[in-house]
Amino acid sequence: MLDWLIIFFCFLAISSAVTTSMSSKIIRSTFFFGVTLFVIAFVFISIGSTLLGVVQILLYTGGTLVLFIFAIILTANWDYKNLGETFNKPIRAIVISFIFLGIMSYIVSTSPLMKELAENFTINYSNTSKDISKTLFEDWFVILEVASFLLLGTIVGCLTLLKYRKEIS
Amino acid sequence: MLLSKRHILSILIGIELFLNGINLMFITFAKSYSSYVADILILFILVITACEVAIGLAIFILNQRINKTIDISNLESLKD
Repeated sequence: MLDWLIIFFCFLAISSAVTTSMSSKIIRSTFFFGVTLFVIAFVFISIGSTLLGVVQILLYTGGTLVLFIFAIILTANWDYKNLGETFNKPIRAIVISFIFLGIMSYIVSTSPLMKELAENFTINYSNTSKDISKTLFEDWFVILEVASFLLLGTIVGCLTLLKYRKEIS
Repeated sequence: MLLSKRHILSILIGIELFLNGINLMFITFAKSYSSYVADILILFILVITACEVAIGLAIFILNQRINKTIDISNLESLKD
């Protein structure tokens, strides 16, 4: 039953991602993008990564969608029709994306580094969230700090970019 | 979407979908080894994605204010 649920969610994720790509209106594209993120979160939860699914829904989907909607609202008076939001050269894009998918799948499935990492962090189903937190703050602490500095840098970068408003006005 | 559209928001959504695909690939691989390493990697990918969206949307709004357009082909003029 769970396998069929996962297959159903994967099918839904693929179809909503394709709809996101094919939509000509940006608001419709954003809506289906939100659906895709939600469905991917359900996939995560279905395969046992509950923490990741919750993070995806609460932080990532919520934050990203709000940012996109704000950006659309801020630029709502622009005439989108002049942009011709249709697929330019779709066959080239589809071929390149499939080639990229093949290369990434090959790299991830044959990489010795990934295999070594996967064997070092095996799942203990009783307390996976505890294991993840412990690993984050012990083995991956430096990377966690780098990520926090990256977030800080992003805040400063955004403020610096949007500072130009006063100069223009 | 990355290759075929000119709207900056469409391109950002394309990058998001692309990174989510990589997330799914990581977690599929890790679950086949009964490992939770993908959970950690995906958390970091989510951080990078959030940063990319924030910076991308800031550039988008800046471009719209300065160049009065949402087309990506005019982004180069922001360097001036």
